Amino acid sequence: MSMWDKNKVGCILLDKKLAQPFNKGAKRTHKPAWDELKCTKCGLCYLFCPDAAIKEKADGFFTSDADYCKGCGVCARECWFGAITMVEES
Amino acid sequence: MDRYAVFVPRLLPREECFLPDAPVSCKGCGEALAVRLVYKALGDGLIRKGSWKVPWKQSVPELKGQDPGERFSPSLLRLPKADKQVLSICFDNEACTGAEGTGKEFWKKNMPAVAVAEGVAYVATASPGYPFDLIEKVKRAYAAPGDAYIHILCPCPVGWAFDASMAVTIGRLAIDTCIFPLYEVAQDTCLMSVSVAKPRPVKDYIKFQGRFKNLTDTDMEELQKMVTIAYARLSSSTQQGEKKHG
Repeated sequence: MSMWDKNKVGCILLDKKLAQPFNKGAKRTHKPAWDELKCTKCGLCYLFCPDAAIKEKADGFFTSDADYCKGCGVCARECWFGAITMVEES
Repeated sequence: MDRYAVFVPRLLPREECFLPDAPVSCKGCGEALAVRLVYKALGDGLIRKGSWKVPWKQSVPELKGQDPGERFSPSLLRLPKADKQVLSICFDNEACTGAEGTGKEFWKKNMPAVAVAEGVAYVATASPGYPFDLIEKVKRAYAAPGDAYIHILCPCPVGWAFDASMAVTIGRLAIDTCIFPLYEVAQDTCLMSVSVAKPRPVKDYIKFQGRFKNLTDTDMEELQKMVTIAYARLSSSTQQGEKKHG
């Protein structure tokens, strides 16, 4: 995207929607998958996500936003209950 | 709060004020996580008053020594408080001390100790491995009278050469091995935020990181001794309740 020159100094995107066209999730190799039988809805994955890619669903479980997730695997390692596994992106 | 500690993440504000855009942060970026937690603690409106519009990697000339090996150029977030007081938050990814590879052996500057010696009213160290501690400290620093300084150790998977999924774990290991103790200095008394009763060996922290792969066993023993002495000195000054230079 040719939005770089329009950004402010330090590339701070004050408007959330500005980051969407970058589609930073495009280069990931793995994505998290939740086992909802093990998940206790504690929210640790949501807390530790560096890219704020994990969102809460209406039923209280969590899911990852494909536009923002970079597939780093922090959520899978930090999950206390082992409910998250990293699945290879198809 | 301890009883429900597992479910505390649900009580945090859901508003996301900081979304790191693609080219700025790598995957598993500890710095992005730390900035996100700071945003969560302070809220959007306060951050916009800060100096975040100056470059994200702000190089601070007064922190640099004459020797290029001794310089210390982290990214700083400066937030004005009431009465011209400033809350400075330093996001330290040790880029200029370890990842640069100048070939010289040196320790990084102990910035919290410098801040204490300079008479900053509230000084604290934090890590994204202990997120609630970080959030509480940022809130407390903003509410405390006088200038405040918070030093956050941000694991950097690229610079430190470890797996991206370890980012939070490495941040926690830095505290568990006493390499980066968590403490806060307010009103001339030092409080340990996490007192480590049985420190893990320093090797646990070192072995995951590619930047330390040239360390030999004797180096490791020396490092372990230095860390033990530094931590003992810090915790002894805590008990006396004095102004410490840890």
